[in-house]
Amino acid sequence: MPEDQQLVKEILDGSQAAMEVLTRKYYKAIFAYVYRKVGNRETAYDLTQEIFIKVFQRIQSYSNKGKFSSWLYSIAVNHCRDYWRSSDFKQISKQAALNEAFVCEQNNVPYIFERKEVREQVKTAVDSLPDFQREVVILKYFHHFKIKEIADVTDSNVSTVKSRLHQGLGKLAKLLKRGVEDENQKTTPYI
Amino acid sequence: MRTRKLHHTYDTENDNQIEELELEIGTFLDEYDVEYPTEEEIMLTIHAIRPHVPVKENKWNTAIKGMASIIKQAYEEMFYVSPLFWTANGLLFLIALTGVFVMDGNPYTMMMVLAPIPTITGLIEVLKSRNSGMAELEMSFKYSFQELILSKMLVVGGFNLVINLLVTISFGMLNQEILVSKLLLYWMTPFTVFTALSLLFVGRYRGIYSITGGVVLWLTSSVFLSQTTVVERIESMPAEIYLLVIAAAALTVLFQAIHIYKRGVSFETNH
Repeated sequence: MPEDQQLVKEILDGSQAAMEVLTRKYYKAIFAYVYRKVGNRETAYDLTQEIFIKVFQRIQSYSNKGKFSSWLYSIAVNHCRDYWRSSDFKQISKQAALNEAFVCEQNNVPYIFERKEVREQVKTAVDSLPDFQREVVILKYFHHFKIKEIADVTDSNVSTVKSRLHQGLGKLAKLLKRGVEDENQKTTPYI
Repeated sequence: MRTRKLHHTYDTENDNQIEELELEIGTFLDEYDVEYPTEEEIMLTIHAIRPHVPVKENKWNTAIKGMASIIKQAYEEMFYVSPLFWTANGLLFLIALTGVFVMDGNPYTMMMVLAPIPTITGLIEVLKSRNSGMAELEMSFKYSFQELILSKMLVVGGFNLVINLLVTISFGMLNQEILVSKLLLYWMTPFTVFTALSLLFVGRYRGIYSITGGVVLWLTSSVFLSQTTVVERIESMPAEIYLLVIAAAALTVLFQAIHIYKRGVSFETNH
């Protein structure tokens, strides 16, 4: 498989084929990052498309000095941050909160425990993390980034990343363990 | 030192805690899989990206198009050049012939002195147009100031080339002793040098300073060339030096012309 730098060079020469190869190479990774960041498949699909469009619009500014993947992730991170601040997100999250409230009211039990699926518990727990903690947890655990790489991609320093990671993982541990305990309590028959 | 050690201890402790937490919740996190888009959806994204892939311009096609546009403009410019320019330079042709055949002057020195004249008078032509309607053409955004200057310089340079060739051929035909190759070197050197300097001037100054500069330079050179010792020294120089100067000046002309043309394009887009 050709190197990223070579593909970028071909894209700069107008190669559509190189664009397709590079997009396919990173599509799933970027989609996975965005999906875990926003927690919604449709929004993640739209944002991933926007991220790749942004990447090819700015490909001339990629200097070939750093890793292409780091440059790509930094665009994805910033695009998600922009989305977080946008009115689109506020509208969708308001709608999601309403839907969730409706479901909870109907069943009168917390949604995540009702579903009895670990995946949903994890998803809800990750979604509940503050933005900056969520992005470092996703990059570290799901994308196997090193602390230094996370610092570069998120434009912060190593100690900040460590602190966010520590706090984020701590919160997740509490939420997930509590979820399991609640599940156990519910499944234990009354004596 | 103590602070650094403490910091290091804290860092290691923090790293260990992060590792422990990862191990602790790793099995949970592994459950968080992703619902990836289908192949059709990925293809839709790829199609949406296509228009944003940079399109590389064919440099040769762009250069040829640019050249064609300047040549076309130069042809049109020929009709706007004042009759005084043609007459004055026609007279130069006669002066050169008279100087050599009637007054028995040195044909090589004569060529060297007279060769830059059409370029200098041409400069007046190029720059005076600023006050005679070229500003309107420039304002129309069809041609930039730089493109108009370049096309006018092409007319002037072309005319200079023709008139100097005519003088050289006439000398060669009327006087069998004259070395045409030497004559060519003697007029091509000042011609290319003055053209290069003119392009450097018009690229930077839009005013009368370019003409004044050109005239001063020409007068200084002429005074030098009127001295026998200087002429002897020039004549003793090997042909390679002349060729080197011609090549350097021609390269300057080429780069300066490209520079003016490119600046013309950016001038249009940025203003």
